[in-house]
Amino acid sequence: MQAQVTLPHRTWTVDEYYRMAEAGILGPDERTELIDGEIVPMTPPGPQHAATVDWLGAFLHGNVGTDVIVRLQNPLRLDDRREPQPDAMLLRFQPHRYRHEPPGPADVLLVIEVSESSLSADRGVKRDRYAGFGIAEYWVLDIKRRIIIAYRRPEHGRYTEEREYRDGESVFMPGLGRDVKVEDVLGPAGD
Amino acid sequence: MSVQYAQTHRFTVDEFHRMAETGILAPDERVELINGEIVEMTPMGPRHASRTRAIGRWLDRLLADEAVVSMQLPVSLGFAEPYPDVSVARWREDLYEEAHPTPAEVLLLVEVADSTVLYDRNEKSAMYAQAGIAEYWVVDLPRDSVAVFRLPESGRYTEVRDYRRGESFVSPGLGGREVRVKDVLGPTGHG
Repeated sequence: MQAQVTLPHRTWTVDEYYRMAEAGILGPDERTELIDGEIVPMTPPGPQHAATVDWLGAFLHGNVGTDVIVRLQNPLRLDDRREPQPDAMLLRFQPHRYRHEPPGPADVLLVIEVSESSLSADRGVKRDRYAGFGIAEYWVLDIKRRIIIAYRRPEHGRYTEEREYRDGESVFMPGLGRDVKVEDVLGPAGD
Repeated sequence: MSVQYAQTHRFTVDEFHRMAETGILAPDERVELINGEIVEMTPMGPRHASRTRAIGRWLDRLLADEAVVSMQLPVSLGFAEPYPDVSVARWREDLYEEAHPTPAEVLLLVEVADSTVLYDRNEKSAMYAQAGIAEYWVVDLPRDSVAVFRLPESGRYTEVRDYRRGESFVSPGLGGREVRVKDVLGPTGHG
């Protein structure tokens, strides 16, 4: 085995990232995220992941009030080198509906990642970034184990509260302002 | 806050050029495209620079109008466009005005390695072998030796030999000339 050696990558700003899209260097059908200045391809969601996002999206759209915007698999601008695309977000309502610029950390009430193969990143790098930018609450839906992992109260770059919720339990959902059942979020336990 | 990702987005040579054309990459940026990744060229110390200059001048005098000798200019590998420290390509009257030299036209590539020995021996040799570059030298300054890579086959060189000062070897890329290692390494820096 040869040692794996890498040279530092040229990293990118959000501005450069969008100019690549405008110039067609990043195609409209390429799903990528900007994480720590690196352009990272998103793994294509498996059918279970996709179905969970469908279910979750329908649930959120059907239950949020007019003071909240539901955003699915679209950008969140953490800063000028970090722009992930979480599976779902609940955002503060704005009359401009984030038409001119993606929402930033202060606009977010809740970030949700549906996690199948990406569990280690979602519970690692991504969690640390969301905590670092003060995202008030972050949920990982571990669809294999059917649990919701809720991270709360970011302080000094990390979440100080972590709790797991299982089928039969309820969890307080920011943005809705009330408790919801775990199966309402994850969808019915399937076959 | 730097994290290693299993995979970042890979760019083609065409996309790399369009980044320069559209100004996403500034004209004075020292970057190269290696295996689809845009990497920053390590800042060059004076020892590396002077050895590169010396080898370039030596080969240019040796070969005259037999071949085109370049220092830190691009060669086009199809999937990558690196800037080897020294390249030797078949003679062309127009000095490659229409297109950068391709592997079929390249007779020899040389990398001078100071801090990047492992990278040049492993990653770069894999890339040059994959492109079918017939002969590649790593001038290993810390070890005061020259590694000669030949006979590329399915992404690796099947012949790798290290030559020390005082030895010599026959270089097919230089028309079968016998090369004295001390001509490549130059006078010793310490006595």
